Amino acid sequence: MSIILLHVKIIHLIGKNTRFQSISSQLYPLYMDKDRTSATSRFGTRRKESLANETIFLLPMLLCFIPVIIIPFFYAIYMSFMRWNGISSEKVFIGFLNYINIFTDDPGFWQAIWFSIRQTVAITIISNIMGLGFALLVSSLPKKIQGLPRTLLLLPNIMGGVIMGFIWRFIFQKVFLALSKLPLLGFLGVSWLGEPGPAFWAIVIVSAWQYSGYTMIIYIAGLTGISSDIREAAILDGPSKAREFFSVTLPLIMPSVTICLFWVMVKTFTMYDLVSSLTVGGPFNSTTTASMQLYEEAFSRNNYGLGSAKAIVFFVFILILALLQVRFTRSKEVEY
Amino acid sequence: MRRMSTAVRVTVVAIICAAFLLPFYFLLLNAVKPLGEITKDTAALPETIQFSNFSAAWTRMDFPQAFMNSFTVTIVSLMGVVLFSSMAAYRITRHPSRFNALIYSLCLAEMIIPFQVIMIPLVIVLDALGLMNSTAGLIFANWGLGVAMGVFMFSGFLKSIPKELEEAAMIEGASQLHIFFRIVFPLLKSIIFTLVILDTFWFWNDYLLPLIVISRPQYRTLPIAISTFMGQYSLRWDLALAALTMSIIPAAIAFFLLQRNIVAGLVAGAVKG
Repeated sequence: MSIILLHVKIIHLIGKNTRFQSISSQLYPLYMDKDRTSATSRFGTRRKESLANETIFLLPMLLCFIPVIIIPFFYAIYMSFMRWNGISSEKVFIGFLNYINIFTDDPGFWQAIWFSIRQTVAITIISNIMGLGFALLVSSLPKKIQGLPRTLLLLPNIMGGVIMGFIWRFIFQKVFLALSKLPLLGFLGVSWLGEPGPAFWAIVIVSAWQYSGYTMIIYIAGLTGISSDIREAAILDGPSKAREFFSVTLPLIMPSVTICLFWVMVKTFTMYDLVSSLTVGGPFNSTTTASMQLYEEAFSRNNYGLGSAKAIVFFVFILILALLQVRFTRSKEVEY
Repeated sequence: MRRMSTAVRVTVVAIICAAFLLPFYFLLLNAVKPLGEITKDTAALPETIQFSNFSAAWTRMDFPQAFMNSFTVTIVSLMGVVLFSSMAAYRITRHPSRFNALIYSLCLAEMIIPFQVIMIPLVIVLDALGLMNSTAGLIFANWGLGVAMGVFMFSGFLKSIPKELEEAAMIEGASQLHIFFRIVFPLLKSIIFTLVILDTFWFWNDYLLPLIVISRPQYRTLPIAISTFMGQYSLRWDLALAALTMSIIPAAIAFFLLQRNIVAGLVAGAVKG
């Protein structure tokens, strides 16, 4: 009994120190239990302090997170059932009408989605093949001179899409025209930004140029992560270079492949800035991305309701991508 | 044979790098030419080198203003994101209550929501808060958009830090805030660096958010200022190229100074994100 009192006293003495209190309650749960009356009062102050700390540490983050993310997200869902121009006080609940309109009578939206999907496929494949190729090449160089090519190839990636778009507009419109007068380079003379086909590939070229530096450094990180033991054991049988790549290297860098594939996919599918400066969606709206379509619906045509509904449909596509990524990550990665 | 193939590979890499840098070459080559020469032949070397393109673009685009706006937005956004998300992550990992677990899962969920989905209502919320058309509004939105990834990255890192030091300080009666800023925060240095690298390029290059938030010229960030300038001077390639060159110089300098850290940060960020 006296031992119990002693410990209760210690707990009293420690008073406000919550952490120690929880340690002692773990050590002496029984004594704490018997001393329920005095423990409750302690518990009271502990809760109060706990609440104070909870507030101090979490409130700043929640104060920006809730108004910027949580409220707008649910507000977007709510608005997708409304007809509203964003300015007038007249908001009309119209049920699923916005969605019905999108699915039955909106060729512009689906053209933009289809464009974004085709872009995503082309850019993802090309920039990953380029990035992986560069990574294999650069990491096969002597260690001392790997740094420079890595830096130079990454340079386009750190520049903003808007500025890169304008620079490339100059390249496509003016420089390629000048270069096409040289022998063998005549093919550069096509009207890159004036026709839908070349404009599509113009965006693919610039994106591959921007993204392959990034995929390269992720692949280099994956390649250097392969332990030399595994590689040596695997090439002991003397497989061909191609066989070694497909049966040894590629399975081992699968985590990097997943990262790069989905990074490029999400980046391309949500693309806005590069296209807005390179082609401005033209010619004849042929390169309008899904993102630009959403922007125009809401801020140029002032259809906040319809714009929100489009944003939700757009979100579903991103969700599918995210679910695919999770499945892909779980099924393809090898443990080593 | 071995040496030969290394030489071949070095040559191939050199050619690829040269091809990658060609757009920058043509940019710089033509940025110092008078308009007449640009129209005549963009591939030719300049006959006269004139730097007046730069001074003209500098004033007409109000480059210093745009640069300062971008700089302020980037720095203050970074400070807020690092501070708020590290504090929240500390509380969430050290006191895993049901409420905190919910916040953590909301942060995870946020990372798959593309900006385009919340863009329209965000304008309404910022307007209601009186933050539209201001640097403060831009910064506030960046904080909200950036904290989720911050919480995610800090939480992962905090779980790997042993709690002994903190517990010792608690027994000595130090307050939670004191413990966080004196003991825990300094230990986060490496993950803060990764987050700062990732977010700096994001905030600095961001286009869509400032496009919807800012319409007054005096608050324009660099990407917005350059795209307005290009709209006005679309036929004046001499001025446009000078403006574009000036706009990529700050990022290029930062990149070459910190290249090693940037590569490390991007790799770490990709693996965790």
